[in-house]
Amino acid sequence: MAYQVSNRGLSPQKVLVVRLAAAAFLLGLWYAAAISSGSLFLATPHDVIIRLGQSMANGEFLEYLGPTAYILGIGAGLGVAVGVPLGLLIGRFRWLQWSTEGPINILYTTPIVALIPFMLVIIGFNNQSKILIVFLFTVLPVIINTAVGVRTVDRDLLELTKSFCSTEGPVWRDVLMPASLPAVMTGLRIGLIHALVGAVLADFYAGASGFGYLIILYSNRFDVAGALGPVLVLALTGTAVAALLKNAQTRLSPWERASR
Amino acid sequence: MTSTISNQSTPKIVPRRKLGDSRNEKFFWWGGLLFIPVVWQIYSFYSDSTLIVGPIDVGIASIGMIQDGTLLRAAGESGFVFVTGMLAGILLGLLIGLLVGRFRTVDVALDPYISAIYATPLVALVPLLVVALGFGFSAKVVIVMIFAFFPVAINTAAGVRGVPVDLEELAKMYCSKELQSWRDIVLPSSLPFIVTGMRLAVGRALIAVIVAEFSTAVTGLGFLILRHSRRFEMAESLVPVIVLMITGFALYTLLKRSEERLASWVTVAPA
Repeated sequence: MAYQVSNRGLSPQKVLVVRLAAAAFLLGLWYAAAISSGSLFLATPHDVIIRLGQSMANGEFLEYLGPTAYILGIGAGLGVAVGVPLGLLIGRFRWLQWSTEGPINILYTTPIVALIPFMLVIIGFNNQSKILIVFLFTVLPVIINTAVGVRTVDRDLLELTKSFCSTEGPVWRDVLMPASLPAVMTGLRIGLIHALVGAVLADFYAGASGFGYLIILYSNRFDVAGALGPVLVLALTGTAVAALLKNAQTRLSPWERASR
Repeated sequence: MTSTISNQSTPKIVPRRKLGDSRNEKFFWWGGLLFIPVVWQIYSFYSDSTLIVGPIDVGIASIGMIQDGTLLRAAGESGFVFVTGMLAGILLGLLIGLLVGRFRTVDVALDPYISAIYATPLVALVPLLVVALGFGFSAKVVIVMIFAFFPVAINTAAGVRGVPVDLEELAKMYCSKELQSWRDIVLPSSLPFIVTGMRLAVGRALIAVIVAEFSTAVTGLGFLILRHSRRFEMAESLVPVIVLMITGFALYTLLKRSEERLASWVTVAPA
């Protein structure tokens, strides 16, 4: 988003200098805060990195990464596999849009976390509830954005296909799919970031395994440096997913500037 | 509730209308809305499990909880946390967003971090915040504030960045003072974006309130949900969820409407 305005008078060298200065300043701020507040509240950056390295070396990192990656893979995979086709249909058929609009919007504005205790009682403390949580977090933004993508396809193009008596198949292949691709990618990006949130919450509340649990474990021991390691990895994952998908979006549809 | 604003060439939705469409639309809309509760009620009626409670049971439970005052007290506690945290988050978000959007140097310096943290699952920080700040009111407010801050900051910055260059140049030509151009150009033209940021912040702040109440001291709707679901009182545990649903949807609709009013010319994609 920062790169839209290129003509506001900062040369690339200056940008680099400002970025480095900001990074140094923030890092300094972190050190100052960590040292002045004591190790109980905040750990210094190098402590966090060292602890992360240790936990990677002794296998603990992988042991806790596994379950989270598992529920994330299945939950988010299902979310996308269900969300994209459903969104395409909702975008295409108006009666379907009308009848799903209410429930989808209400569910989307409801904090799904509030449903977790309920799901735990019904389904239990197991991977099924975890996968369901991740799925619910992923599927809604995917549906909503995909439907918007299909709905905002240029009407003139659709009229044109009708004039040429095109059947439904070619309309999808030649018009709807390519034109809604950017919005689908936006949905994927938001959905996957939500999936990460869902996975962490699932680990918090639905059973003692995974990355989220590792964070709680260390926090309860007042081991801030240990707990910040997994947080850092999650932050990097989220940022990487967002950046990758935004990149893919601009490549797949260069005519449309990626929106956030 | 992450966002999307595309303020450029997305074609406007111009659905073709047929006669009788609006009646059909209402019919399908209400049908869709009522479908889930009705199916749920029928399922709960035929299910043997006492854990599956229908909407009618939830309704009855809600009357009891309103009468003995537990629901109102919990809603008040959660509401206070929500409002305080939201206000703090919005103010801070506005401040940083305006600075980032207006000054290129601040933008270059801070934007990578803001974008990165926005893509981070912030819930992961909650256990640490609880350790650092305790189980009290202030911890909850800080959690809500952090969640609400990012969408407001990012969308405000996007709005300020998107101020038409022509207008800015005009202001400069007439030797307008910085403060004047903020009041007359920057704020009005970025207002729709700010409201979008607030709409997205509402959803995140609601999540934050519940997560905070799950992880900290025993107050609010979040705790009510926990207490009743641990006692397997499913109807009572669903009442606060319904309250949250209605609150979230009402606030979302309100802000969405004001967005459409403020700027019918900006295409704001949902999500």
